[in-house]
Amino acid sequence: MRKTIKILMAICLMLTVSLFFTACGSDTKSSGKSDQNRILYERALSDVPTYDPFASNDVTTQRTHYQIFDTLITQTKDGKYEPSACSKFEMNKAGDEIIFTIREGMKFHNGQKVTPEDVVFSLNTAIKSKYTSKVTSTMKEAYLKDGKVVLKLKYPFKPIIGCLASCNLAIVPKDVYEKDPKGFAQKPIGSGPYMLDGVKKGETITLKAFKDYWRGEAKIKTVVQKVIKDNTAALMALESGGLDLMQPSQDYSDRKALKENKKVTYYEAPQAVFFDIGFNCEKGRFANKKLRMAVAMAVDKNDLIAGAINGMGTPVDAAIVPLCPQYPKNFKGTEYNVEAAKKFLAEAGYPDGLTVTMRVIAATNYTKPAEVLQAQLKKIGINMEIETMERAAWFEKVYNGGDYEITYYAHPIPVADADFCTYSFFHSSEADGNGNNFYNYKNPAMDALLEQARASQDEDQRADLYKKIAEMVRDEAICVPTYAGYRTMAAVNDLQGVYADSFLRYYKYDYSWK
Amino acid sequence: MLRYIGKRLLWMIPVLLGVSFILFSIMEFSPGDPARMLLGEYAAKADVDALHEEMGLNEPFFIRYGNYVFSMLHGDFGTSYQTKVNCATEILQRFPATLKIAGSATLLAAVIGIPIGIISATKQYSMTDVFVTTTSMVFTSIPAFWLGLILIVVFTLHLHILPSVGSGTWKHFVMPALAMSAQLTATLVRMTRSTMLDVIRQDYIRTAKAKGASPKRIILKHALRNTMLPVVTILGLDFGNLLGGCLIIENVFGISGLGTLMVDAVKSKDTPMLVASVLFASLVGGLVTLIVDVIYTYIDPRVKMQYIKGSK
Repeated sequence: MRKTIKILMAICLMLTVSLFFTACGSDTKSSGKSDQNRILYERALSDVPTYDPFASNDVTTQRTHYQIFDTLITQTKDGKYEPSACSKFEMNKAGDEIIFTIREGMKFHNGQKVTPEDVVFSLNTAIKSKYTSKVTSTMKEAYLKDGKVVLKLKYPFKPIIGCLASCNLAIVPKDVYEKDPKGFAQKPIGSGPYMLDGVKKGETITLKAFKDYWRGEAKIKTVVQKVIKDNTAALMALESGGLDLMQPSQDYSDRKALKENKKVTYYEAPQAVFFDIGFNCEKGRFANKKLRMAVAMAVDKNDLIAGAINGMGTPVDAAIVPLCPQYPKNFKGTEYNVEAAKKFLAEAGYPDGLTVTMRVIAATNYTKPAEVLQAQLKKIGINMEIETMERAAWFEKVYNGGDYEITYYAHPIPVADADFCTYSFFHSSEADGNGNNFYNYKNPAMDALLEQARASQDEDQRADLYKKIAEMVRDEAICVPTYAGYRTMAAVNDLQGVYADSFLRYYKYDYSWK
Repeated sequence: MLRYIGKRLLWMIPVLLGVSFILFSIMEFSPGDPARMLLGEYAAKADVDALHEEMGLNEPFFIRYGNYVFSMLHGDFGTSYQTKVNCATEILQRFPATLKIAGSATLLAAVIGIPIGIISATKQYSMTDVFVTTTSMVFTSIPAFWLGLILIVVFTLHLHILPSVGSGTWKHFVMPALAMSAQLTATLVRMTRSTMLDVIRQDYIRTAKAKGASPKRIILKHALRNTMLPVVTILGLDFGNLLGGCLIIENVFGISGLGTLMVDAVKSKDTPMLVASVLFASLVGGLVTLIVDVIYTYIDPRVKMQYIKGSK
């Protein structure tokens, strides 16, 4: 018996030693080849279920789509829009038609030339798709005219240029897509700087630089996106050299660790979203405006930011994402005043306070602020219970079903324009589960302002109208905007061209190795 | 014996049908709309309604379930709502990774756990025994995901000898196997020790000793076989469970296996994928249990007689 054990132990020891020797040269770090050919390893939060740009609107999937496909317009690092697949564009006087001159010399990954017919087909496919309505709802149709592509809108819509930068409006080869759309969804052909080279389902997506890209071949020849769902594992992979680039979690300790890591550079940009307290303005106790005002005045936003997101955010007073050019300057939100809040509470008919239930999605983005708010509302006599719900359940019951009194949610936007964070959230046509007006707020005066702001082509006039809308939201206490956080990115120091983008639009073409 | 195996295989059919019905019902009555999940939370109601129509979600529950069972009996396990790819194809692509983790973890547990359990039993109350029982208690309590992260810290961050994520080479499976096998090994050690202690107190062991058999012969020839029945049971059950997906370990190590597939299907309300993957896991689990029962007959021939009598 002892001899057997000794033999077993010797075998284990030999295996361990051989592991040391053979694994020492293992590729736990990024390829050590010359910089030109060094592979970029990036973290992906999840697998890409489809490479059909017209059948997905998930931001994680689109991070890969932006590398494979071109769009008519592209967004620059500083948030501006410039022509990409078109060499120029112009809007007609009425503002309901855009004429694009398609760039010459562009090719698809299969060698075919990009033609105006391909662009027309792509635009019309996107318009018809149910998945792209966030950016295509204002588009009517595209057609050819004198060799140029004309995009007809349902009505004049100023932010349309920003919509065209979305990869939901990617350009695809008409004949390839039409022949086999299901096959295209697994083996895409785009005209972007990278081609899909290989997929290991649920693990890696490999992209290779397209040699005939119209701007020239990308400097980084190979990008491998590794699917790592666990944030801690991703962080360790970045620290050990298994990753070069990742979008860190919102967790404070993760961000702190990255900021202190000398091998890594940490980037931040404002989020294209603001978080708010939402009230059911139609049914229940919060249909009472005075009760809503009481809550609004009891919220200390700085305290909320410190408690919920460790200070990594900025207060928002107007119900518009601060990134939007229409965000009113020096806007004064509802004043934080506990005594005035108590007065409103008494006037609302609750001089002795009341107990309410806040229904939130079971995620720290919502539960942590809810806990801070719970403590703040207690000061004015409101006992707030927090009911956490699974995301799908919250959307079914609260967002679409209106079965709630008070909640905490967010206003995300795909384009930096106030229309996206106001029209669908406050217009009466979007209430009752028909859109995003989960507050069920119905006011013809608000509707009129929103419609006017949408139709206007004058930016000064629009800014003025959105200021009035923000004032109405504040005065009616439809919701209480609280703060906007940060988008983050972390990359190894020798990766250049990296930045954090508010809209999560990342173009690997801009990256290079030092 | 063949009759017994045949009966067991036939019994799997109603079991799998029952599993599919339960899952279908759970997905039907749980909150969330697969069409809305596909189109995005801010999709227009008209688009969501149109997609419901396209996906056949407007049909009554029993008609949809009936259609699913009919296709299943013809070998078609449906198309994933998310990826639009055949569910069976996706499952077969993911299963090898799970099989590697489960297989290596079970093998490691058996190779380490059984001998250590035997040693601990034969040296009861010694320092070795105390060390083994204490260590196994510690490892029973350590969660696999925590152990996995510690292994990454040690072997990847500090020693740089093993990769932390992926499944490209055998090195990618070392840490997942170690993390998964820790609890199983500890359980096996304790079970082997406990069963061995019972067996070595039996009369026939005393007789063998009295007849002059060496300790090695007593343990390996007389005692071990009688110890193996509960040990094989645990090994088989745990292997079958692991084959159903080691989700947390898959997440920590970035390995795309069956567990991740199932959870993603639940999150996106991808009913065809969830039902297909759970049915697959159930089938595999059932087959493993059957194999364990067959192994019993080789360990203890009396069991074979019981099966034969029972199947008549």
